[in-house]
Amino acid sequence: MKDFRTPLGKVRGFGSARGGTGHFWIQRLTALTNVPLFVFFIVLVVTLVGKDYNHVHAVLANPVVILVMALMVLSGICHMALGMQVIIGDYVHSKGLCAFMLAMNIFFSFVMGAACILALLKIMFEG
Amino acid sequence: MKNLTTTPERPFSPHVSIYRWPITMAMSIAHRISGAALYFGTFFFAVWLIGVAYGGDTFGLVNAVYASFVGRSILFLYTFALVHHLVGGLRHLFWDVRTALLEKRCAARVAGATVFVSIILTFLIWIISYAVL
Repeated sequence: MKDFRTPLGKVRGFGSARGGTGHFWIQRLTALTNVPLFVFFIVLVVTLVGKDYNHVHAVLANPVVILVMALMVLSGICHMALGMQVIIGDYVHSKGLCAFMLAMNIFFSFVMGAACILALLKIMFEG
Repeated sequence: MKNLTTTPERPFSPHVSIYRWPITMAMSIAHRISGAALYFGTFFFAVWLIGVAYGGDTFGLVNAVYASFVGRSILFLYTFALVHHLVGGLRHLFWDVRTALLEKRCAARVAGATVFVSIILTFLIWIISYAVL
């Protein structure tokens, strides 16, 4: 039995998902917050080049540095997950593969975010 | 039964492949590529942080790998991707709030400027890094 309904007819009546501009907006917001956070990060890394372990650890263990780095990780990971979602949506045309890669995108982003945050916490709490 | 509501395959008008690349298009593509590169580059950042978290030996190993020729090359490209994406992203934010800047020639000039700005900033970061080393 063929489906006689048009694609438009199928979605009509459900109303909007109320998430229309959410992706766009969060992408821009995180882009904005990324600017100062990553500038801080670049300056931090430049000052740490060639320094020994104890110095690097001591600088990173500073609560203010930890806070900025944690915010950078959160903002950066959000931004990159949203960005990769768009890329996958644009280029992966097979429905199944697209769903798979979108899931992988979320897993990768969470794993990277968790790894960075846990490492920062370990740096902070272990002297 | 044939589904009458779907239109038959229609020819596409030629697009991306036949145009001479305007600078704005090239920069848009570069923005996406650098974004994707940074996505996977997060791995290097996480490894570095874990190295710091896990003590001197792990950190020494990470440092040795990152300081090798291949490591430095990847880090240089990583820096360039980050700076390019940062500068390009700022340009996009300005375009978002001041759409008048999207006028063709103005947009092309700004897009062209971001290439030079990001290259200069990348080299500046590395030159300063080597200077303080």
